[in-house]
Amino acid sequence: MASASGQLSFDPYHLSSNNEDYLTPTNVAETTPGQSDRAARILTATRLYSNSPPEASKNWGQINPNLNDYHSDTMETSRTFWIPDITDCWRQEKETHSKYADLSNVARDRFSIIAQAVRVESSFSPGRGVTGWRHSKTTGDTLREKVIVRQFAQANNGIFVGDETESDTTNTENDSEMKNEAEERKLHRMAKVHNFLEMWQRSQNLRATQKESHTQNKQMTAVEYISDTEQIVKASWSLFEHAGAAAFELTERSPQPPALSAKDLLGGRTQILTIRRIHRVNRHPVESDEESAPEGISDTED
Amino acid sequence: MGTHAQVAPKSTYSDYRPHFTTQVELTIVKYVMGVLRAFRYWTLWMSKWHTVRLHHVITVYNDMSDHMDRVMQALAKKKTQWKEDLFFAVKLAEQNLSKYYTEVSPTTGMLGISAHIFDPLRKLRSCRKCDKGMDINPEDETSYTTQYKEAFLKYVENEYCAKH
Repeated sequence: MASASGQLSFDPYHLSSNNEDYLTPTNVAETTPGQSDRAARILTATRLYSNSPPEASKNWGQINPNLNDYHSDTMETSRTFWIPDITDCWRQEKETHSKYADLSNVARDRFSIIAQAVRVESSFSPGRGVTGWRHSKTTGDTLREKVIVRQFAQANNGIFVGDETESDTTNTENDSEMKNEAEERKLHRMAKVHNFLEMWQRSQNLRATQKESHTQNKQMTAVEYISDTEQIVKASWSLFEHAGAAAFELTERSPQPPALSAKDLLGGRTQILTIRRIHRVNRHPVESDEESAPEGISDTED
Repeated sequence: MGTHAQVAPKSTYSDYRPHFTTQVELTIVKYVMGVLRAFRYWTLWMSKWHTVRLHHVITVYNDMSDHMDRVMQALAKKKTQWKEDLFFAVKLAEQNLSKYYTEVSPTTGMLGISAHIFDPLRKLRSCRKCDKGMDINPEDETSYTTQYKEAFLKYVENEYCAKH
């Protein structure tokens, strides 16, 4: 950077050098003496371990599983299984400073790898590859269909039947992306059919329930619990007693809610609605005298 | 529970009688369940574990392969049609299993092998068992025991000692 422009001439440590020898020095030891000593100890312990016969099960306090005992119920014979785990055994090796103590770190690192990391084992649990931990609402049928479709696609080199004409034979990056997109679209269509039908049926049921509850709400609003003017106009006055102004007195038999005081009202909304209700009823010309409000009330309210 | 067993009237299920399982079908189902018992056993056995079980991979493979060999030996000379079909199905299943098992080799499945050897109760006992079954001296260079032991040593040396 500096040598090219000539602005910096002092570079005692050759930091601007692009020489590969500088970047990968050969005069520096790759491992420290401590590291090589530890590696030698591990190798010695490994040789010693692999040449020695297996430990007796009684020394570990474990019981061998009943191999080939297929006639016994697994749920009942759990006592015959190995309950202590192997990591605990290797931890004991390290804590007791046995001859395999150096090897215990290697064992710890190996056993901390989950079995599905092995490619062979991951083939036995393809479900986790399809749905993550957050897909908690995926049904078993959907999961099964997805796995089947994916395996079918994998058996056909990622191409579904009928897709061969769409993609080119050259294996470019764009083609693989197109294949993946087409596969995802097909998966989405094929695997979601059952869920879609279920959702549609549920929405139909929900709509029917809402309609039914809406009818009930209409009947309630007709008795003035909800401020819907259209429903209030259709309200029948046969529900009220024909006692003139006394019908609006707050008694226990009155279907109206108790009147609130001015300080209890929220913005005076309830009071305004009450006035509007009586006003509309008086202006309705169709209803008979029996269903109309008493005359004296409208004057007082307006 | 009374002294007399309550038997449903015959007319109740008469419509479904053509769909009832025949004795032969029931025998087939029982036989297939016996064939699949190993899979059920090991699946439940594995699922009950809450600890590391990587070191059991080879053991389970070996046991299931042995089980399928025994089933195939039992079905090899059968002439009944459903038993021939079952023999064909088991043969395909064993091929599928061996396809996976061959991937547990020193070059591809070293993780499973090293975990298996790290089991202090087994170590290379399974390899010696295989060698003994094939009449191979475990000390020979071509034996499973020697190959797996050398692969294990190289694995620890290259993958662990060189990187840590």
